[in-house]
Amino acid sequence: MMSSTTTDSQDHATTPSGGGVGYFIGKYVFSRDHKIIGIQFLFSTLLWFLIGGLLALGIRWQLAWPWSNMPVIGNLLFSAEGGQISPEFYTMLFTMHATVMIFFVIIPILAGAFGNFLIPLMIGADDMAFPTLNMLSYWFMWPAFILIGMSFFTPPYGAGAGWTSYPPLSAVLGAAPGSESAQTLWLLGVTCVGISSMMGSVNYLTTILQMRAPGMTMFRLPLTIWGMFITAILQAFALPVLTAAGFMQLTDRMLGTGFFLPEGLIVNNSAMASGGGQPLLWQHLFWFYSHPAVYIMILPAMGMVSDIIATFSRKPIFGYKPMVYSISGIAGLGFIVWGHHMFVSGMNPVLGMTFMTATMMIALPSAVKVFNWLGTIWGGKVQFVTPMLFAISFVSMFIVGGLSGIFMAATPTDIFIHDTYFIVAHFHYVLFSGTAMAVFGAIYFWYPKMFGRLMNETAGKLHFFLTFIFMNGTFYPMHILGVVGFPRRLADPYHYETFAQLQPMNQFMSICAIGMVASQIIFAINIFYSMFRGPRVGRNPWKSNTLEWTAPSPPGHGNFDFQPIVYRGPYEYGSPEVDTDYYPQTQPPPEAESSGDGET
Amino acid sequence: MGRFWSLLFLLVPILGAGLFVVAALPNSAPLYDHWFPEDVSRDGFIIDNLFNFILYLTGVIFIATGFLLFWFLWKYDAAKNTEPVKFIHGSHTLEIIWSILPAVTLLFIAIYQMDAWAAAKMRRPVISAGADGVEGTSDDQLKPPLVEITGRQFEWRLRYAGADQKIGTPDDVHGVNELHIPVDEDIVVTLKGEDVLHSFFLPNLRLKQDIVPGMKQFIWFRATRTGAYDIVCAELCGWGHYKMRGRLVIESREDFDRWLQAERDEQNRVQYSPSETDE
Amino acid sequence: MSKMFFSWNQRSVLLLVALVAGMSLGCSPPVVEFRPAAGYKLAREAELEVQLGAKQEENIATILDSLFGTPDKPHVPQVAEVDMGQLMNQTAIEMAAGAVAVDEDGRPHGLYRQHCAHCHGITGDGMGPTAEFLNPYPRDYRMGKFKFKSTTTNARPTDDDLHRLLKHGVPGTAMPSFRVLPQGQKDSLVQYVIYLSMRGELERLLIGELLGAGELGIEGPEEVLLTLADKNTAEFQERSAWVQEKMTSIASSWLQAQSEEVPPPPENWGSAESRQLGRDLFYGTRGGCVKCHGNIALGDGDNTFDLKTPLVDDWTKENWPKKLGEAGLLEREAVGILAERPLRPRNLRQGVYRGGRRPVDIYWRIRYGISGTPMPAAKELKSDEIWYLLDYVRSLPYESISQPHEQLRNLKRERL
Repeated sequence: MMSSTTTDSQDHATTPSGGGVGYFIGKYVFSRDHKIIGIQFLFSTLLWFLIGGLLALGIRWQLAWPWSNMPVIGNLLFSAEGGQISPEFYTMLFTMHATVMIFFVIIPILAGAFGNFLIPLMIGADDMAFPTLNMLSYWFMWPAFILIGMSFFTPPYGAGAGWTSYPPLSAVLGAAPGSESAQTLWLLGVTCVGISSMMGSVNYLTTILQMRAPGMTMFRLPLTIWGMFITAILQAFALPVLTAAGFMQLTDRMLGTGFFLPEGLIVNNSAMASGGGQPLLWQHLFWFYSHPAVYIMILPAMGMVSDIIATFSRKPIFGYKPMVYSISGIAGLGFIVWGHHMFVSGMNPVLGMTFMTATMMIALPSAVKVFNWLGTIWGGKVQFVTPMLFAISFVSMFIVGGLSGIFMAATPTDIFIHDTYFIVAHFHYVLFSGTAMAVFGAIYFWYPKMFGRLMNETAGKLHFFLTFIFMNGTFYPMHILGVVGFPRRLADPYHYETFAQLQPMNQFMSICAIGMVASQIIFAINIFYSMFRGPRVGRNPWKSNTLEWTAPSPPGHGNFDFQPIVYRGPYEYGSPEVDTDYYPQTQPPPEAESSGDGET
Repeated sequence: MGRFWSLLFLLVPILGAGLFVVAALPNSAPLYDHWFPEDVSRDGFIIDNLFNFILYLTGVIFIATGFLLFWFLWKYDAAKNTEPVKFIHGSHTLEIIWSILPAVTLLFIAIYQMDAWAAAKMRRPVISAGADGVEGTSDDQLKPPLVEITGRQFEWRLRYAGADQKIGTPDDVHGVNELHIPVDEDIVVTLKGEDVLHSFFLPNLRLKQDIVPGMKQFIWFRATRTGAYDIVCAELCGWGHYKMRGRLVIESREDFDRWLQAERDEQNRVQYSPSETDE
Repeated sequence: MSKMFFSWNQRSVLLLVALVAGMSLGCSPPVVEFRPAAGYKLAREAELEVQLGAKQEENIATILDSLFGTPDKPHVPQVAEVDMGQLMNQTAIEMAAGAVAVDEDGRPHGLYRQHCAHCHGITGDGMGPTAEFLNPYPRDYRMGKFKFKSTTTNARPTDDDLHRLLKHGVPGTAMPSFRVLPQGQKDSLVQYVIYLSMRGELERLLIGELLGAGELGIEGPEEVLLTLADKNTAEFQERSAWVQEKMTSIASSWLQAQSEEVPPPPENWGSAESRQLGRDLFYGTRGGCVKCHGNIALGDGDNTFDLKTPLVDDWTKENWPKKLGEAGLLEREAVGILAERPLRPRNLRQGVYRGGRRPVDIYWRIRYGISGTPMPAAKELKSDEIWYLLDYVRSLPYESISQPHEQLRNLKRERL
């Protein structure tokens, strides 16, 4: 079941030969090569990362200096009010910050950018199983970008019902300023992202299952691939529910159905015509997807972190099979815990008990993974290069994020901390301090493979240091705010007696947030500068074991210039069988001994 | 350089745990009032205690794992570590230990607080246990609600039962945003929504319940100290979500009755002459 | 890779310049100014078929600024023969105006911008950023008309009326209750609303005058009302006196506002008999209520379906005069006038009373009407009749047909 290696079967037939615009478009724009598609995803998502970060700065500004002149935005949009933003603008800020970060940054960068780039390379295939579908999965993001981009220009500058889009607020047109056409555009945009993700997950599942090189058994796959594989299963099973729910909300808004709208609503002085629905139904359907979604947003990152830590500890991963089972356990349990977002929602309290128990259990595989990472570092030879720094910080920060989850898993404490900044702290720790840091590390790590050059190491360390400090300064105090009961999504929390004293802490956090966003400038410059001026590298600058490091940097079309054959697992660092401290998967065993497949 | 990074990671458990300690200690500058708001309820301490228990437990794990991370990074820095790498793929024993221990702990936490949850959300106060003498059965005579709170964009509309003890009759007393309740009594409140989701949050009573239009829900609590506290909306309800501030006034039964009567009289005012001034 | 356009050094400099430019764009707060009364101006211009000149508009702004100050620096206007201290004081106005901040003594400033401006607008024109999304629109203070008060139809509200509005909000609308705001801050906001209202009223008079519709005989768009250059002329004196006279009249109307007496209800008030009498009045010709409020009081009377003369409030009527061409429409949209909306009479079965639910409140609504709307003052009804009428109206929400969801289980038919 081998695919050809060096042939350019895919796009020679369709790419016009010779130079010119047609050639450029065929090779770089509408490419079906998984590496190009991966890089397209990478740059698109990094651009949206910037936008999402700026939206976050808007939130932080309002929380630090409420109703003051907001830089740039105040002058541009609210000059009549002295630069003071309106309350509905604030609802747009937090809605779009979350929407952009979740649907346009984290999910596509993990699966679309890294999944696309790495999967065929790491399993020894020459491309994905369905290259055209792969290309479509990228281009389906563009309608989403355009639709959501358009929503920024409809009143009041975007959707304002939260990224969770709970009805009736989101489903009734008059319920909120951001619930009119902006909300429709939002729903359509998110649907397009869903379609793109579904296409991707079909591709990844088929490729990983069917196109592995000879000798690459499932338990010799690098943990990155395991992460991508399990994530693809999560996407495939959970997304249809969100898409269906999104359609139901669209029809509630536009066709007068009443899936989520009960009778007798009087919203903004208009009595609603449709009825007979239940707002909680949306919450169930939405969280049935969105809870697995949060695991979609971390499992690939965990996989990549495992690979980076093993490489730079020069030691095998501690407990490879438990790591695989933990990934599967997190994913499996992830399907039965969605109700923990709804403990105080009005859902039957008995369900609170069942969901709580299941949620508590997810901490177990997560803990196992953390211990195994610690075990990997123990006894190794740690190289403190930039990708490793980010990977270590993932472990350190994930401990914070994971432990904070236990507080909200316990239903009585959740009564108090639900919809407070304790929740915000938790998910920012796992999503930014966790996944985003892992993504940064992955960019530094696989950049030489993508572009054939190394990123600047000093700039990388500086970027890491500043981001680490400012990130913790921004998000750690949120735990304390949450203990006070500081609510989410309030444009002006300080007119409550209970929260009036929290403004200085918020100002500190906002200053750190500005520093954090500013620090990314170093990263951006590094990426672009190194692409043209970085030192060129060979195939394996990090001396890593996995298959992608045996291909040229960057790999040509078809990836490998030889047929990869796999002899062992991916983490045989420091093996006594060889003199070098690493032992690539494709290196044949020494003739003297019998070539036992490298058991993990 | 490796030593520097190891120390950087050591700062995480030190500063992380340190911030919680400073915030939790009473009167520690500059973090005055950066911990739980004052608890004026009978049962709020259960939530606070559970939180603190989880905090200590996770705190120990946080400090231990953070320290281990630092220690391993320090000790096994490639620039300083001359020993060969420990070529080991894992340890079955360790995996079992660190699967079972957390599992047991987590299950313990889960089961330990089920009763608190049931008390908060499932056991409504009763006046009498009914004919069978057992509380929690269907023949209990449930305590009727004192007030019905309707959340609407962007205020809390209140409706106190009148003399007939029923809400929805002409003798109800209407109010907005200022909820008075008598102290040291079991209070039952009905929650309704008129337009979108809201959430009735009383930080000082450790109480929160989402308001769902189309659903009539009951909450109950018992306040143990008088005073005025905030009512906060805890579910995004539109542009005015931040404006939905209410005031909870807990007062003695006599003061409460007097206040309610004054509101009733004002609501039924049938005379006005220009020499008077309003409120 | 391919050739580059600039060297790296040049690119860094460009980037730095761009950053600095970007930052300076954001760093200086925009200056807040009162917005001129475009709706009223367009309406009068259409009616009189004269245009206001640019110099005249500037002149109006100058006169108003000199009398009232700016949104950041207001001052209590000097009015002849009137003790303005009874209406407002400088400290309170300053507390309400300006950007949101806290001064060294811990006193808050910018209360109006913090609590009110995003709906009611900086100028009090009901056209803040949030206004277009609200139903009904926020009040435009500049006409000097307020709906829910205890005074006669065309009189101003009293201080107590405005305080009651702040305390209870306007139920059924987006105007929230500010009950939990400290009393001193509420006082400051009430005074600032009066300030904005007075300013708006004077502005309307100035516009009318400069369009040539007034007594001073202004002709043509070039002639301004007052300039300091002419300050020694007789004309200047005459016109200043005119402005002062108008200010006095506006301020006096505020000072003279007084709640009207509500006589006691009749003996049998509150009984079934009283409600029956009220019912007869409601559906009969003397009350005339069903024309707007509908045959079963749902707010769907025949008048609500009249396309030729739709029910609108005075603010809408002024902003959207009949027979407005395409150009007129675009003109108004360009200055941010909110979309035209018909007015709905109250659905009396909901139990929502915007102006307050006390019997005296409803008495005032019926007796003096709702200023600015087609709800008329019931001058011909005797006070007893009004009491019976309002007894019936207050009982409406408790009839079984008013609570369909409660009645779903009672499937008996009810006769009206």
